[in-house]
Amino acid sequence: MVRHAIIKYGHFMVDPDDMQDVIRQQELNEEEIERIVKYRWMYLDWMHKRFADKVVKPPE
Amino acid sequence: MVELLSYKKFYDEPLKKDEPVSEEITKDCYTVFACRHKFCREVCPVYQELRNESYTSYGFHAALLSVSRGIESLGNMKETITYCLECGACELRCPNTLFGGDFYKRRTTTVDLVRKIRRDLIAENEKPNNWGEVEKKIDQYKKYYNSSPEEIRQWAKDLEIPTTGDTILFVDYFTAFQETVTVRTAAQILMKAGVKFGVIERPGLTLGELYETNFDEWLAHAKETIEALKSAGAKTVIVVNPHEYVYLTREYPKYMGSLPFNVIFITEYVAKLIENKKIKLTTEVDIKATYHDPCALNKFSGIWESPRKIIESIPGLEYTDEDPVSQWYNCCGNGIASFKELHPELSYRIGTSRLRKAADLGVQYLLLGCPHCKDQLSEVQTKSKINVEPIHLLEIVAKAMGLEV
Repeated sequence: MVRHAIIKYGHFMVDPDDMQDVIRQQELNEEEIERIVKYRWMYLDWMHKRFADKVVKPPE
Repeated sequence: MVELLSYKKFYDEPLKKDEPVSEEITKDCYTVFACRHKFCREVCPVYQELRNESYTSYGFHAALLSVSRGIESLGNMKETITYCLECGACELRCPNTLFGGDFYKRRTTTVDLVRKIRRDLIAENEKPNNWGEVEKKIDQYKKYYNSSPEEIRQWAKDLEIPTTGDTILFVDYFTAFQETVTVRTAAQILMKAGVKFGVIERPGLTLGELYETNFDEWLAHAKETIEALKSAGAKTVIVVNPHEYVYLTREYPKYMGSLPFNVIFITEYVAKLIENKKIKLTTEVDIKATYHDPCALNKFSGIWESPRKIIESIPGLEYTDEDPVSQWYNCCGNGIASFKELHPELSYRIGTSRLRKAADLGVQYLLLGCPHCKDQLSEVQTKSKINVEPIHLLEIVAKAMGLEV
């Protein structure tokens, strides 16, 4: 779990200060980050089309 | 400007047989080893054929981790690490990339790791079986590189293309000497569309086999290519070979910073020309076809829409789509670098599996966006006699334009 999240390039991102002790961040530019986000939505859409037969609503 | 930067600088520090694995690489291996999902297995074309977990992203990271803990030796990885096509499916499907890469600004980079280990093992004189075939290929490409300018431009001998211009069609040695139809067709399409472009006289080698063998030599060639493109006055560079597109947009910026020109893949460019009505597709092409997403475009570069836009605009073509996510599981079997030379039989098996998937859709043609896929799948089709003909998408575009190629 992260302690703080920030918004960068329009997306949630871990506070870089939290990524100093165990695992450090790598060089990822904005286009590569946008590409990952785009692939995630594609993948979720693909999963949804193939495996979901109904959408469960959250409890009231 | 397309520039997809994903770089772990600590991979640059070489692994050596008698020295400990660095703390950063050990932690990097733990981030994959700690995963119990192993989505990297099912999506891997090599795993689909062999069902051997050692030859997966998980297996490679676990093996290097065992080296770091003194359980195994680096030299013993020399065969295992050859069982990777470098297609990028595993690192994309890994939750560390797909569900956490953007949030943590840290992703799985299996292909970079595989290249690094292969390179470091060669430097330590730990060569796998069949490595002589890879060395032969590198020597063959060095001969191409040392050919005369007339020989390098033989593919375009009657096309009268200048050697300078704002727009340059980038022609690597594979398309200049082996799969020449693709680049010749691309040039003819651009000429008919009224695009003024040039082709540089002598690019450096962009060969993947060299990249994972001798990094310094590969980088010197990369610098030469960039200088040649700059000297030719390039503002836009159109690339026909997806492997070179990956080098120009993902690998060169790691070591040389942003490139001084825009790089665009041929299908993106042609799709725009069709949209702007500079290309008119008037001749009916009555075929049933599906499209194979090349790994270098689909898994590395996010290019899957423009080929489909082009296909949809071809009159008469009956198209059956296999969506790009389903195609993360596919590869033609050639791989990005040394795989085919190291494992010709396995490469053939992966190729036949791909052609059979196309045959199951009941199509006559498998449209391709990559000259390496065309070379590989044509060979597989001839040998296997599977009744689906691989053809480059640009050849169909040319037919629809009424061009004789």
